Amino acid sequence: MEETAPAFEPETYVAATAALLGVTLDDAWTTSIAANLRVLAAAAALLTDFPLPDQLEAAPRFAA
Amino acid sequence: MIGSPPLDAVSIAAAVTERRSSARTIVTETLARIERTNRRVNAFTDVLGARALSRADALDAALDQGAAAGPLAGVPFAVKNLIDIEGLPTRAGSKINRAHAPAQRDGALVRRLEAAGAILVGGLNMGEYAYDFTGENVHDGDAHNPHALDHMTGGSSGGSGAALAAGMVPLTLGSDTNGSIRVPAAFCGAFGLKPTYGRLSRAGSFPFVGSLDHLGPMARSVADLALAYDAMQGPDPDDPVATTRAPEPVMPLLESGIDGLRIAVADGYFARGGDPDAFAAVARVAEALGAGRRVELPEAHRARAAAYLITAAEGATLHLDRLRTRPRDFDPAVRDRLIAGAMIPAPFVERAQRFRRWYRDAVLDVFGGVDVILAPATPCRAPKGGQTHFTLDGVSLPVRANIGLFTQPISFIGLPVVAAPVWLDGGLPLGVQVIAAPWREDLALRVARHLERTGICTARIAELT
Repeated sequence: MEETAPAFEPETYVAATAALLGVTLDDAWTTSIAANLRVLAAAAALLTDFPLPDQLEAAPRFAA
Repeated sequence: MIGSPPLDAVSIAAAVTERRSSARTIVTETLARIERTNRRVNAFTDVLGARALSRADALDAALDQGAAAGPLAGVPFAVKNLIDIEGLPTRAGSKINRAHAPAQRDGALVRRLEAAGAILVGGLNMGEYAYDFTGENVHDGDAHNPHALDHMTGGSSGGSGAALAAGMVPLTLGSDTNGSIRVPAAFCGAFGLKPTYGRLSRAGSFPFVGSLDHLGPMARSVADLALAYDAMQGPDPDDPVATTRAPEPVMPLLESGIDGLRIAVADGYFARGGDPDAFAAVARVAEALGAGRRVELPEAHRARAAAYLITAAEGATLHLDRLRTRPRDFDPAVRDRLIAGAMIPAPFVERAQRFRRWYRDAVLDVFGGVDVILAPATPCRAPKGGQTHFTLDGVSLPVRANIGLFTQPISFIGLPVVAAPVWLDGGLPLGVQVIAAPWREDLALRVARHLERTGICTARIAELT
């Protein structure tokens, strides 16, 4: 049976990750950073939803 | 000649080479024009009057003594202020960087243009650290669109577009990570070339996203673009991704026309999600080129998402120390995007890079059947200055994040593009991307030149009173 991941809570994640990164946040910034994270998470979901073969490696150069 | 219409680079080089004008006269008139108009458009952050006049005098003296004139003899140009200018800190649109030590020498492309006879006259306004599509800057003030001063120039090479549209210089350099040459070219009604990733050296410029950063020229004519592009080509060991290919000059091919070229319009993602005007501009160009065929760049929406993620993560990595120590010295909007970027889990970024490989292969397959693809440069005309949201296809979206939605999937895999300006009516211009396969800048420039010659795409100088 597939596990269900817990819901993503950007504000909580922002506070915890800022500590890991050594970035000191003003509380007033959290809403804006969380909003940006939501957009980034939606972008990431578009990619995790798209199947890629395990053998497909990132190209070190991007123009043929 | 003060007050006369500004000349293009080709005409200036011819006049100086044939001694119909001195380089000093050209530079003096250019500096006067900048002095008159910059307070209105705020394109320049640095004007190099003494240096430019000194270089002009040196060029005139060399020509007096019979030296051969370079292809850009006496052509004034200016560069986005993330490109090194000897003696100035490379501010890259930021407050923080202006405390850096002055650059020890000019950036590689400045040196190459000056070796061809061009004369640098200044540094240009830009969005902070190039993380911008608007041309707005909280530290230096916003660049204003010369065609409507209360509208955005587009960014992040906003000053580079505004300086052309205001007739201040015939040639500028910009950088393009996700659209930062093509967007201001479209909004300001100029031509811009984002070359193939790795084609032009980025040495001596302040980076943003190393795996996506390009430098390129902007101008009011396709011949000027090509002339500058040819002068800047060539390997450079100082840029780790610069190509080792020999220069492939385009100027000799520029008037070759479009006979035999297979030209198609990008469908799907590139045919929705924008104002009808954006698609009308593409349709006008397509009709002029006889391009009835439509092709789809598969999964372009995911390509845009991947570019968005990689940009945020790589940009944040570059700036993490500054985010730790001087977060209040950033533009708050840029800071918050970068901090969010620093928090992206690594697997998301690696996934985006692996998708990049898939998408590159898929798009190269498309180029097996076509030579050139047309797409809108932006989803709309230049928004008003300070505008935070716009409505696209009935959906309200943040302006900053979405102006580049049609440019990002193209630069994501390093394809060469010319942004060509289209004037549908009496209003502001739009841009069309003329996209070619890797290393085929010649095809994109040939098509753009055909569009210019037939009057479909033209750059205009704004009438600033």
